Amino acid sequence: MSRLVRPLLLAVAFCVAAVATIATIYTGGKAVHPALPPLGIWSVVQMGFELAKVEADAFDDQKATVLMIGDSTVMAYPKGRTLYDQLQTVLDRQSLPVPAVQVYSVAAQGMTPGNFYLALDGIVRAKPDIVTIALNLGVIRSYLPPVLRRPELAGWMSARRLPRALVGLPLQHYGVTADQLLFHQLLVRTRQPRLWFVQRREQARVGHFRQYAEDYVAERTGLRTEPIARAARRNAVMRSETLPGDRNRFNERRADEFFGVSMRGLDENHFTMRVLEALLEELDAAGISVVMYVVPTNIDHLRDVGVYNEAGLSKTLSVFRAAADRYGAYFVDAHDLLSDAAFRDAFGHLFYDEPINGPQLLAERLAPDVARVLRRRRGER
Amino acid sequence: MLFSTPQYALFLAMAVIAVRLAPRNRRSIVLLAISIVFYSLWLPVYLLLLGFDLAVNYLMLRRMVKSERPRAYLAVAVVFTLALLARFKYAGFAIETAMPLLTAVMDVPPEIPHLFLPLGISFYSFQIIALTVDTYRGDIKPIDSFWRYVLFISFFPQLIAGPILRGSHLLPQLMSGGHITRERSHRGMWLLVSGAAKKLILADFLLAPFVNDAYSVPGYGSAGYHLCTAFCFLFQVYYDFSGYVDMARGSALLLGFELPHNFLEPYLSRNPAEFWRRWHITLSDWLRDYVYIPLGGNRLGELRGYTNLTITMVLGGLWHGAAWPFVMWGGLHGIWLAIHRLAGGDTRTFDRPVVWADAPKVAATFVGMAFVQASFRSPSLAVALEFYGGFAKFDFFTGWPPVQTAIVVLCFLLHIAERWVRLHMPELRARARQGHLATLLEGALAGVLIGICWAVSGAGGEFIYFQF
Repeated sequence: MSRLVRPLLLAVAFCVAAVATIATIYTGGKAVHPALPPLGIWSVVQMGFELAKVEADAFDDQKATVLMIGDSTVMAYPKGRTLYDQLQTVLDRQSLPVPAVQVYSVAAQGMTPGNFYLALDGIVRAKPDIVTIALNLGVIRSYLPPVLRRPELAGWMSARRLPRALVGLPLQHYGVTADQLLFHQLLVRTRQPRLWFVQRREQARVGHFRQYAEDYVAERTGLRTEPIARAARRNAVMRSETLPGDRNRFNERRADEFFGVSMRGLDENHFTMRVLEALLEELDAAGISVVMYVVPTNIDHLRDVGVYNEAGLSKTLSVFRAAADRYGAYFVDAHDLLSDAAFRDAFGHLFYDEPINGPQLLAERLAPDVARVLRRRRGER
Repeated sequence: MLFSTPQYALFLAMAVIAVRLAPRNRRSIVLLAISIVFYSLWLPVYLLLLGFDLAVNYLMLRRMVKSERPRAYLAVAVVFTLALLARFKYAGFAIETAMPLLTAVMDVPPEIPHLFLPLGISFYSFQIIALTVDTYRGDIKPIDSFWRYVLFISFFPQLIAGPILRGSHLLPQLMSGGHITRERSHRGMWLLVSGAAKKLILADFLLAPFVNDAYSVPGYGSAGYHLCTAFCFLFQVYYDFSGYVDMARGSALLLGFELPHNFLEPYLSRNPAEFWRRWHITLSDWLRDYVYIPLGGNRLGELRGYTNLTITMVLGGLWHGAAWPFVMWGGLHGIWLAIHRLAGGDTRTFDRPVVWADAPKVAATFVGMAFVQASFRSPSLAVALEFYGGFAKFDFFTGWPPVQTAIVVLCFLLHIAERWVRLHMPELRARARQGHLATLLEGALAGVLIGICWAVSGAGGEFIYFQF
């Protein structure tokens, strides 16, 4: 019995001290920095809410649902001016085979086909009539930077799809290794995701302490870093040209980093394509129609900086089209829909005010095809 | 699986329980199964590659032992291992480098392969070669069990980022099934805690963000700012890698196995030669024993000795990564070592204790190391040159960021404290009180450290040395 006293004391002291430390840091963190930084998990929470709405509508025969998935090009606009709002407006004006069409979105910043492959079971369960997939030519890389990683989505993957996800797909490019996949599965299956979200949120808050420390010292001592790396980084990383309307554009190096793979011609075995095809295959098997579109790309600018490559781009588009054809998806090529003047920044976000309302123009381009798919789908029933 | 993640904590706990419950003569089998599961928890498909690599090498090893021409089998084994390493690690780099020539010669230039680097391939390839060469030289008894061979290479605490083990070190321990004692468990627990603290608090939370910011705008700011960044990176890479090694050693100790030190306070070195006796020791020893000495070392004349030294260091740089900044890094180290030797610098300082009178030499070596290591962090040669351009402004006394400067000073003090603790550990352990209060305090200290680690671990990233 006495042999157990020491390990027990050690364990109790350890646990008490660890919990007290974590609680102190988190409480202090809230006092110092109440605002929350953007974090991938919010997209997961938001996604859950939106998918629940889609699922509720699935039982309404009088209503068709369109679910838009993609990155910030779908949602990074003020309320009422997002692409899904615009598509809703345009579809409402059209004559459709159902009394009502409701457009939803589970798009979020930096989301890729890999992220949506992980979240696929939630999408399938929600039973939308149509899923639109945004393909941004600027996010297809030879690698994906860590900021795009959202392995927590893997927690919602059904057991049926685990073997393929583990050994059949190159999900590692999205930062999802087998241990992460299984760990997040464990979290969800033990009903602990909320605890995990809270934990991650607090950790993200703590991550801002350093910045506060720098500012605190700078304010009180006058010893400010020369130059302030963060501000310099913001400027230098973008290294933008200043154009009327305060727009910015990538320089050649950054443009090549973002668009190089698409412009040189996407290989059909590229990890993005393999995962995209898996996504299309699953949606097709679930009987969900897909409209896959290439988001408007600033071709004028890419041409100016010498990154544009017509032959390579054609190859990329044909690879997309072939994948869509293979799985009965509808392919819309809107890459050259808009000129340079329509682009708000280098990431493909559009102006949403007159004289150019980019999301509206894109919605008008997409709406006939969405309507066509909807008619075909309702005609089949 | 990263050692600093909750999933590893779960995995290690289960592994320790499984190994401790297993009879001693069955521990190897249990460890082998755990190690295989560990590797497959990264990318299951690469387990096949590891298996193939090991099967071929074991076959060559056995043939070598029985053959009258062992040298031929040795050559096949080494070439095979290096070819596999080259295929996965260097093919893209080689094609990219030769692209201008290939574009001129070929109608359609080849595509640059973007392969996912198998986890730990650089480390286990070197370990395989070391075992084969040591067997050939007769330094160790030939291994006669394939499964023990597999376990030696795939022993999970050291599989992905070393330390690079020798057969003479680990094989006898594996044969005996390890030795679990209270002292080892205690030491293992503290190594795990201190390793996590080094990695998560010092490297990832305090140092990495500043270094990342500064390297995203190389050449922007004063020379002092660049020097501070370089100092921060020195400590970031040290605490990142030594944190990993501490956790690897701690994990192994909890399983009953002792792994060697890989770092002995490298930034207290008095010259570059001593630095390489203290930094990534198992790699330095490997390069010395299997590259530098076979090349002729310094036995073939002075000039040849300097050349061999530089070649060895360039190869060491290439081992770290298939990119020109690593070649540059290796070359700079080689040149520095050659100059140090040429200038008649003392190469045997390692055996002498560091004293306060050595402070100028330590400081000079530290600053020199900051200049040389700057290229190690650069993603490309262009960035490295831009960063060195920042030094060339020569305004070394302006632009020092206050918080980061304080962090550098803190890291240096911790470095000195680390040495003191290592040297006085047996004495400290003997004097440590064994009462309940001491136990409570010990548990509380570990709890506070882990609490801080957990709270800041959202900032945690991959270990720098995992990419190698």
